[in-house]
Amino acid sequence: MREFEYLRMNTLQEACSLLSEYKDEAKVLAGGQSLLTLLKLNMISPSYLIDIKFIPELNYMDFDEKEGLKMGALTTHRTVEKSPLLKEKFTVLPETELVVASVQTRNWGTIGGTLVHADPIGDIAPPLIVLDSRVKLISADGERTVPLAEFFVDFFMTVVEENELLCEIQIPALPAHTGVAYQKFSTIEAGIKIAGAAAMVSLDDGLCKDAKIALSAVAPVPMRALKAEEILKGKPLDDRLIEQAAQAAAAEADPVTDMHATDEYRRELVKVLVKRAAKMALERARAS
Amino acid sequence: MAEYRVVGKGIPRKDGIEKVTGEAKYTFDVTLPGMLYAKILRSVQAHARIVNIDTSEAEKLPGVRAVITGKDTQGMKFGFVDTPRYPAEQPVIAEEKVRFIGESVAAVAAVDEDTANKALDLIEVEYEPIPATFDPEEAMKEGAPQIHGEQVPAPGRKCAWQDWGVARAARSYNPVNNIGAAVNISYGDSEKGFSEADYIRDDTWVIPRTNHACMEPHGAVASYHPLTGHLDLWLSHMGFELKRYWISKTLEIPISKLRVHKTFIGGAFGGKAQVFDHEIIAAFLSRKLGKPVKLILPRDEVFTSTNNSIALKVNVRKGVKKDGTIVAQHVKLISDMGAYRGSVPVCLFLCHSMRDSIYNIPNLTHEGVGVYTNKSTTMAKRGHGSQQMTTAIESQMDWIAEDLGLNPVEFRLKNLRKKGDVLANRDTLNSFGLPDCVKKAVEASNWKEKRGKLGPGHGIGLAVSSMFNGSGYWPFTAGSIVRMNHDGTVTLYMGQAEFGQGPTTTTCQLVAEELGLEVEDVNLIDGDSELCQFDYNNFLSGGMFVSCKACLVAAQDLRQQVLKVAAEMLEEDAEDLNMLERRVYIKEDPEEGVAFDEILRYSIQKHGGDPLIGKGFCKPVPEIEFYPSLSKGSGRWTDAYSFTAAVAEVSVDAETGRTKVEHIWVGDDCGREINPLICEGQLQSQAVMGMGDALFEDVMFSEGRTINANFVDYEIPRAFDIPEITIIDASDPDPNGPFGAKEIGECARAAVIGSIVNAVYDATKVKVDSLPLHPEKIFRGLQEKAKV
Ligand SMILES: Cc1cc2nc3c(=O)[nH]c(=O)nc-3n(C[C@H](O)[C@H](O)[C@H](O)COP(=O)(O)OP(=O)(O)OC[C@H]3O[C@@H](n4cnc5c(N)ncnc54)[C@H](O)[C@@H]3O)c2cc1C
Repeated sequence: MREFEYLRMNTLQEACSLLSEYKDEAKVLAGGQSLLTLLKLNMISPSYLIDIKFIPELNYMDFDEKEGLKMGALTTHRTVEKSPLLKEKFTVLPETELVVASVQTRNWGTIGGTLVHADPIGDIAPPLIVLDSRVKLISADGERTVPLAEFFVDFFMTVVEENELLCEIQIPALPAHTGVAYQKFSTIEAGIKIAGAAAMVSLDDGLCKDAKIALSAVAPVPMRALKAEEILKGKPLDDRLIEQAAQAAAAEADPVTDMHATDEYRRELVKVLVKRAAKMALERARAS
Repeated sequence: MAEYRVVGKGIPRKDGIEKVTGEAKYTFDVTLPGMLYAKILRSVQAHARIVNIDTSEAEKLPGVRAVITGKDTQGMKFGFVDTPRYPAEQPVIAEEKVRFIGESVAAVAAVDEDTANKALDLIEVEYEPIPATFDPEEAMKEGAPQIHGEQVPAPGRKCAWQDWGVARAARSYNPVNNIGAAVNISYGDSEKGFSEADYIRDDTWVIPRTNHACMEPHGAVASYHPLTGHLDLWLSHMGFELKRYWISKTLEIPISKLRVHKTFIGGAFGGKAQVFDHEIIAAFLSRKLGKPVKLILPRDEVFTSTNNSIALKVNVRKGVKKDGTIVAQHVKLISDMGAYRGSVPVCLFLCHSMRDSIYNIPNLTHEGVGVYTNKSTTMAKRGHGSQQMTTAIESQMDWIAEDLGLNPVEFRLKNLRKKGDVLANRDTLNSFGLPDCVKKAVEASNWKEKRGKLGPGHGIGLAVSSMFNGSGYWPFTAGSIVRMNHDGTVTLYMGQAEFGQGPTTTTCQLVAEELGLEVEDVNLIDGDSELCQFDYNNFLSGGMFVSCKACLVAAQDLRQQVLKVAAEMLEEDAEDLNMLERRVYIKEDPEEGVAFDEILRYSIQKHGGDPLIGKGFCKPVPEIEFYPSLSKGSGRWTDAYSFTAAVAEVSVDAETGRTKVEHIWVGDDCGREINPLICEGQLQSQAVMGMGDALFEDVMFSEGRTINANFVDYEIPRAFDIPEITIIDASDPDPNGPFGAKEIGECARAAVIGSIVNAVYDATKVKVDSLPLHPEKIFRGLQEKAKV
């Protein structure tokens, strides 16, 4: 590990100005759960670590029916898991957290950090994508908002520029008769994900008004399974249709073989996970 | 059954408070004035000639105190096995060539770890790659790259077994086509046996390396005193004897000048038994510099450069009669040894001997070879060979039962040995709780209502295993002293290292029981090579049976001495006396007696100052003078066997192939539970470890490079993976064990692995031929089945 200078930030402004000064010489540190591993493995060697963990402006959670949910980038996995508000409004998020790592990691790790880290096996991205989330980025030059579905560029790469911070995650309120579910597959409980799928189903008069499916760990970035979604939209949903959508999603996936599984097996898993997530989402939509 | 006061009570661990409060000092916590920090440069080549090593830039770095290479340690060889037949062949630092990725190539001592790491980056190694070989069956072929040349011991070099005075002369074994070890054991007449069989099955399993996954990584602190020539050591280990012998041998420091201090040890599981290059290097650097040196391995080096468990391909051919009587068995093993032998020659032998106590097989052949490959070395892991064999044999037992329409429980019970049986090597089964283990585990798990009746995707499986209770191994004895204190308490000296298995508590229970004391009355001094006596430690699970027994014998000796003095004081016969609560009393008249402290004072005044010191010792396998032949399996192995029967219930997701273990029942014969809490802990931990082996764990390689040398990619069970575990005591006390006790720390893991394998088969009917039972393998099997 190379030596670096550790800089603890107290305000967002201070962080932004240092980032625009140091640019690629600096790395943002939030919970450190991914960053410290990369440092130790010498996969990155920044000269400055800009610690944003103590910036109060990045740690909040607000909800109103019109604007939906807004949470600061520093919101930890554990906060999401335990939030009564989220349990009521976006049940899938606290549910997903239960399969993320261990309590220790969830206590430290932040949602901003996991998104910017952009590991294709990240668990929280797929449900956030089917929830139509957006993220707000800020820099000394201004702000911009990006749909999460367009946020990821490649393995461990996002649209975040070197002078930018992710400051907020925004989730619109769920439409009526909508259900969301997430399915993760790993060998040990809450282990390295081999494949994952999130599904959102919105019903209107018994027909599928809207559907979103997001897959992870089966492509360089979390991806929407657009063809699968089309199969569901506008139709009365049943097991056969969901099965078809699951097949389509498996064909859309672009998995690789690594030490944990082969690409073929991952594709097979997509079929199962999409089917299970969509069925659960449908049940939830019906019940809501 | 005799009732005891202290033995058999589940008292909390004596070392528990220090561990949970963080007071416990591990090797990592040892800091000495002026201490330097060492790091090792590891080979990035699987097989290469070292053309040149340029250390000049590293030496110039401020803060660097020494850089050493194989030139400095030229000729120093170490290994787990060092017999005339298999001389130790691993260099402390690679000399003319490297043989695996992770082998030590150079080492640095510096004022701090960062400087040492920077210095490693400045060392330039010029390699000339040689074709490498990674697959043992490829490596065995004519024309494969040869990893070792002829292994001629240096002139005048004596091997460890000669040093220990127990080696038979033998020609050293020269590797041909990378075959570096071989066993060939047989009794009866296999050919005839098979010809009499009504049915023959032949199955092959491939068992990969798995990691010991100790919480505490390996490490050493060495402090050499230039004026006195003494070397003080703090190590993460399983017993000081082998470590100090090897460090003394390689560095030529008299063994009596070497002291291994007590440290707390964060797990070992077989993986810290042998001496390691990093320990010798730390000591070498300390001597060279006259300063203390600390060398702690990072986790990835634990995976790549110490050792993993033994990788084996196990082929079993078995002949049975229609009624299920086993008549013949022929086993063929191929071990992917890695670049040096590690403990493979021992393991190939143990694969036979750890299972020979289970089934009565009249005609048997057991052959195996260890093959050098350009991979890291391999070693014992909790059961050492038993789990590899148990997986293959116990799964085959179920398949045979299925083929012949036999009940798998009855089929096993029918073929079990009997109490009192004498094995081909003359070991005697003086205790044999295995039938009871099977019956109790089967009953507790409600097997009869479940087997074949749980519905698709659910299954239940049974497997049995066995384990030694110590064997003839250095230093072939355990000694102990118990002395009386001024206040009538005692101080016990036990050499055995505590690394989680519990002797610091259980030994005190034995001694307290014998002397009528409470456990708190026994002060313990342990794990220090200078303060304690020679100790066999708990190699091959001899901790209780050999090492703790020596402590009990010392207490018995002290008891006799105390009774003799008390008899004199009370003017009674010693036989009419008993002891309790730090006093001796008259059995007939318990009010009448004398306190221990009075007895001590009396003894000092009237017996020429005798302060009452009890002495005890115990030899593993007392009758043998020479160690059994590893390659022929002849000679006595151990004095008692312990046994386990495990039952596992699983569910398998038919769509993904993923197995979830629902419940594990462990029926165990440990002779007598000296401390049921510790026994339960040992068995639970083996159940969890076995589950990891069965389902998840596999140290993976790509062109000789370990690709999952971390706990993100190498997955082990965590708290939320652990199923319900039921522990069932099915002990048969052994006449030679302390209060009948045998071992509890190793046996069960193999049975648990086998039981999960069999349960998954019961749930899926998918025949898998390699561990772990990764969901993808089961999924493929289910797909194949669906096609048919
Ligand atoms: C043992 C272990 C197990 C894990 N298991 C899982 C799992 O099962 N599922 C799962 O989804 N994840 C898992 N993770 C990943 C974990 O969720 C992430 O490491 C964590 O959430 C990252 O957040 P952090 O705050 O620690 O980010 P850091 O490690 O501090 O930062 C991560 C990256 O994001 C950048 N960054 C952080 N915050 C910002 C910001 N606001 N703006 C711009 N850049 C930023 C950093 O510069 C860095 O590049 C695991 C991690 C560990 C250590």
